[in-house]
Amino acid sequence: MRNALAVAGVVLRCWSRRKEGYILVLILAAVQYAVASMDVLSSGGSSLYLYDVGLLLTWFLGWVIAIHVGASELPGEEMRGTVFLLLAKPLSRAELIAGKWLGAWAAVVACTLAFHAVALSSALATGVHPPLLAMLEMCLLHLLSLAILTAMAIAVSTRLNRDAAISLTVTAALATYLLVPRIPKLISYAAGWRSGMLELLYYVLPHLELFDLRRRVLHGYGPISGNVLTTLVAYGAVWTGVLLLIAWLSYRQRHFQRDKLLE
Amino acid sequence: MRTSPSPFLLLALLLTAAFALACKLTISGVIRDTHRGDDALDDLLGGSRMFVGGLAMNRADLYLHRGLTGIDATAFSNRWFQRLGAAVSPNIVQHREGPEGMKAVLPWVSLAARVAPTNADYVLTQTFLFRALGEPQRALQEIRRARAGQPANPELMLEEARIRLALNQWDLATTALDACAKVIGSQHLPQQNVLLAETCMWRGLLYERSANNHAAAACLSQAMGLEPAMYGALSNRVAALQSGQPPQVPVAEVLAKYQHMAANPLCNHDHGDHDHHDDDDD
Repeated sequence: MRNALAVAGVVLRCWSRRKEGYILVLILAAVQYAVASMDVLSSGGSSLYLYDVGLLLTWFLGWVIAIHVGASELPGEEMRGTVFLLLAKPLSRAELIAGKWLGAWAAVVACTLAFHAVALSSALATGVHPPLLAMLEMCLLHLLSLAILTAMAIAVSTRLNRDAAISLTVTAALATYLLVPRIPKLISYAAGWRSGMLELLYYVLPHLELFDLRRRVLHGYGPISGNVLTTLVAYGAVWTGVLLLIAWLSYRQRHFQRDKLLE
Repeated sequence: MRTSPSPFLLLALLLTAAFALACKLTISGVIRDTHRGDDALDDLLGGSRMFVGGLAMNRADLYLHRGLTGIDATAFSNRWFQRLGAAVSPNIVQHREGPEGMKAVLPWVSLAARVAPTNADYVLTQTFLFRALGEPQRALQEIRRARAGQPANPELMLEEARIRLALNQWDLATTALDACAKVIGSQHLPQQNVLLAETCMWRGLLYERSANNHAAAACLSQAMGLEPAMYGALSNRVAALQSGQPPQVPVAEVLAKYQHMAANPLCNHDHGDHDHHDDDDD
């Protein structure tokens, strides 16, 4: 556990020195300012649209940073050749995977909380007061969904280079987020083995839409109950664990050859 | 080490170029953009501004229904994930009510009206919201902007008349109503009777206000004949005007009542029973 935490600390310090997170926060702030300045939107009505846009961007940028960070860690070590140094240390593959995920997720949490802070600040500045408890739940579940995405990116990156890992993770995440909630409707139009396949996907793929509480916050539905929150946290933790397990199974027998890696 | 341009940058550039080209396409025969008003928007969006306006109105509809526009039929229900999903995101259609609901919807409607000003429905929805929120001056600003591009649209003319009435600009309202009646008579519109009936109703009340009872009775009769379900309550008033008797309810009160109904077509009362309105306009 100590080794994993040490790896996580290195990852976090590394990403805190890089500019991606800061640039994305600035982009979000700039877009919020631009939207708030549009007189066609800002005259007469409430500013709920501004918080809506801010949350949409926060959601999108959270995905971007989670997939980017998660998919960059292991391929980055291989590309720089530092994977040999890491594996020469008394560090198991499982601890390496866990540490990389924990550090990546910590970096993603820091960025995402900054995104939420920018979106919330712009909302408060324009007179929108979202319900506190629902908003905290939304942030928590958003971070949990990003834990799943980070683990997914790490799992994919155990066998692919960075760019391919990003592409595949983005495609899988989008397909999961957009397709899975619609499967109950799509099955109505499918027959035979297709219907069975869709139903299998419904149960096998993660339900990322369950972690999206933006509608509750924006449209005043109030917080979800403690039982539902606990269930979702457990669901997210299980999926993160499953993906990290897949990552470890994929990585544990992998052999690295110095001359092939450094081509 | 071999370096190459980021494939993601190339993909982003290609997507941007494709989007810009798509915006320039106009579906002929389906979307006819006859109004070349805002050059910057025209350059950016081209004929796709109607599509963008539609997206904005869909967003407004989503806000009106608190994030849910409809529930799809599904092959199965009440599975564990669906129950959890319903607990997270309620799947019962609800409406935003009152001024707060209108304020939430207004920005998206305003965006739709600005991006696609040739769509009179967007403009009318926007001006209705401004009127209902007690901002007739803003409504007037927007209707004049829309009318600059569509000077012969009777729906916009009638809406301008409503706004002028809300501002107690009786003479300007009269002018707008007379112009509207003339235009309706020269066109074949799908909602012709409804528009003409309302125009005649307002014109009749304004005639009565200026003590021209004969013309008032004629106009109100015409309104009743065109839409008896909506204006049948005016029958006693018409009879009184025709017989030279003063109606029981002063014209100012009737004007105020119809103005209130024009600004608040959805009942704001707690009981939700619309029959509780007093329909006697004698």
